[in-house]
This record gives sequence, structure tokens and C-alpha cells, in this order.
Amino acid sequence: MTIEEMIDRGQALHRSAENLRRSAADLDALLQTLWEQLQDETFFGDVAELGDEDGGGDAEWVAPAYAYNAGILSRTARAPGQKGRSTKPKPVGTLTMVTRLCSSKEADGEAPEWPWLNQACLIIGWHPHSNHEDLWAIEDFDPTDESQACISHAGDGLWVWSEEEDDYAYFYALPIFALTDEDALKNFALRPLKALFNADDPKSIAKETLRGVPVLSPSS
Amino acid sequence: MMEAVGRRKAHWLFNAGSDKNFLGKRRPQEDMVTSAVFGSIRLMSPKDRLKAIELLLGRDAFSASDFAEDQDIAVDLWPKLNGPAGRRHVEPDVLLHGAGKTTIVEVKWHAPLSERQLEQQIEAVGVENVGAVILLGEAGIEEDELGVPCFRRTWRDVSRDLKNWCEAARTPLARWVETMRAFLQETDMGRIFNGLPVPNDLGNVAFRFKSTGRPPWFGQVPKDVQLVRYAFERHKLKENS
Repeated sequence: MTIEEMIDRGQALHRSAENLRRSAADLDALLQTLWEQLQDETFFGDVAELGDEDGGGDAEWVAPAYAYNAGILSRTARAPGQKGRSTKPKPVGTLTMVTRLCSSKEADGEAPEWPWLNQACLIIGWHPHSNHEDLWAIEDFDPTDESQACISHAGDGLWVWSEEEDDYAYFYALPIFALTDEDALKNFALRPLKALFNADDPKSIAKETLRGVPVLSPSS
Repeated sequence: MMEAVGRRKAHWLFNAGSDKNFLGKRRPQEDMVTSAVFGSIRLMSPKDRLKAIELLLGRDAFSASDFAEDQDIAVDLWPKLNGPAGRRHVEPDVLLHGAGKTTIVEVKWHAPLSERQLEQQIEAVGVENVGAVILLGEAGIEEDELGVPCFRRTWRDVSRDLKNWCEAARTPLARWVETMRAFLQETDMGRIFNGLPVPNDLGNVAFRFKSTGRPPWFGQVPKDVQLVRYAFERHKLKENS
């Protein structure tokens, strides 16, 4: 590497770090808003905090990736006239929100051409029918051997993690710069998520649900 | 204080991670916010005070408080009330005294509610005297305590209402709203998401580290959001994976 190249790279790194620092408060507001809205009755209401994950870096939350998990709970409505305490909510699945600003691992071999590998994005994942033990991890979106074997595009911007022909979990990814305000969060992140999470077969409604949503997709 | 934070002279006190700077009882932000917000309301004209309280509490809680339109609401900060048995004093953050009824406001800033906190405050004021309880913050509360309706209102909820409130004239109330809005937008509890700032231009330098796997994508300026479409091949499941 020439000295000029080294200087160029150093300047680019400095500028990126500076841009990250400038964005930090807004990234925090993005995730906090999502968390608050998830708990709104319009979306999921009863949710349980299932912890978060910092994708590396020692500088607290200015990290290459950050994820938090929410457990979705279902409360069975009491029958008319039925008295007594409300029923205990049951876990019915988990959600994971990931802000991914860059990869934390390189591909073991040649990197797959996944659209979230080279741009900042918000990944919205979920495990349906889960008892709150199954969660997406930041590493799942890195091009490891296991991820490459299990992740596939189910069509229309919906991605799926499958093992032995069974679909275990789903996600879609949004370019982070497409999220311009709270309305964009609702329309692009939360409304499609609610519809897809509640669907018995998310693949069957993905086309309709993700129409107009700037999801990252592979080329046909 | 709100000006100092809103104009980024002291915003570090209230910004992301600030809750970790002050531990245990060394957490002055909550009382500073209570003082700055409700202290400034105390100095307003009765009409402006009523409107400012509505903006702070939100429409539902304001309705439940049953304040009349022409009412002069008294704002009482940290009153020391006689506590129930076994407790000398109870100190709600704010009491709003209207005609006949009192509204309790508990302010939270990176802090949970203590056990029976609201219940004790209601008992200290007198159940029959309390119109509503509002928790300003992120702690979870029940829908009612001792039969008194309770409302949770986050600082982001307040920010949204302040943002949507518009009054063209440069009235004292409009200036207060503007100051409050700027203050909350510089705090981690009240900031509304308005997208990310456009990265500083690198002069069309697109840079990628090859060795670390951490390309600085934020070093690239998005002219507008482009969907990236890539060829994709489904990989077969590996044996023993």
C-alpha cells in the first residue's frame, strides 16, 4: 500500500467514525421508538424484553451492529361473564431488531451476494411459534458457512432460515437511510412485521405485504 | 436549563448513556427535568399554564383530571405529605391542584417505580381527592391504582405532541413549546426519530477495508436510497449442520 493510499484510507475511516458518532443519538432514537411502538396495542401489545446483543466494539453502543429481542405474548380473552384473574400470557414467538452498520466477520470463503452485506440496514427478524428461546443473533447475518447453508430468499424481499426443508425463522432488511421518520418506521418496519408474524404462511402474503416497502432483495 | 440543553451547551447531561454517568442516588437529571419543566409552567399565565399542562399530560390524562377551561391550576413541586403507617413522608414529584381534585405526576428519567410508590402517594393525598395519576417516563404502571385512573406518558409522547402543536404567533406559550421541543430532542428519553443525518461527503470516495470485514459504509453519501439487487443462489444444507 502506498503512503497516499494509507492516508486516503485513514481519512475515510476517520470520516466514517465521525459519521457514526453523529448518527449515534438518532440510531438510539430509532431503536427506542421501535421498542415503544412494539408495545402499543396497534402492534403487539404484550411483549417481553429478551435481552440485547452488541455486535462487537468496546465503545458501548457505537458498535458495528446492535440487536434486541422481544418476546411476543398472547393473552386469551376471557369469555363473557367469566370472572377471576386474567389468563397468564403465553409466549407465541420472538422478534429481533438489528441495526447493522457493517459486517463483523468475513465470509469463510467467497462472500454471498446478500444485499445487507454492504450497506447500513435495519433487519427485522422473527421466530414464529417459539417459546422465547429461539432468537436471531447478529452473527446469523454474517456470511458464515452455517448462515450461507440455511438462509435463502423466499421471494419478494422475505428471507428465511431453513433446516431440513423446515422454515424456522424469517426476516427482511431495510436500508437504514430509507427510514426517514417515525411514519416510515411504522409503514416499513412495524406494519409488515405484524402482518407477516401473524400469518400462518408468511411466504404466501409477502408479495402483498411488502409491496411498496423498500426491502432489500436479490435480483431475479 | 432547557435552553442550555436544547442549544447543546449541556446536552451531554441528558444524552445517550447519560444514565450510566450517574449511579444510584447521584442521578440529578430527574429532579432537574421536573424543576425545569414544571417550574417554568408555574410562571405562566393561568391560560397558558392550562394548555402547557394539557400538552405535557396528553389528552386522555388531561380529560381524566377534569380541569375546567378557565381554571387556575396550582403547581406544587415535591410536597412533603404525611405518609401512611410506617412511613414518615411521601413526596410526589408534582401535584396539580384544580377545582376540588388533585392530579399526581410522577416524573421518571431512567428510573423504575419503587414498589407501591403510586399507591402510597394516592393514599397520602387521599383517594377521594385524586383525579388521576400520570407517570411521565418509561416505567410500567397499572391502568388504575386504588380505583384512580393511571396513565403512562413517555417523554417521546410529549415530544410528538409538542412537534404537532403549532401556533403561528410568537406568544410566550409558543416560545415555551419551542424550548421544550429543542430540549427533549437533545435527550435520549425525548428524542423523536427523524431519520439519520446525511453523512459528511467524502468527495465521492467509496472505501472498503478488505482485511477486517468492516467496510465503513457510513463513509458513503447516499444520494437517495437505492435498492441493491444481487444475484442470489440458494445453498443446499450441508450435511451434519
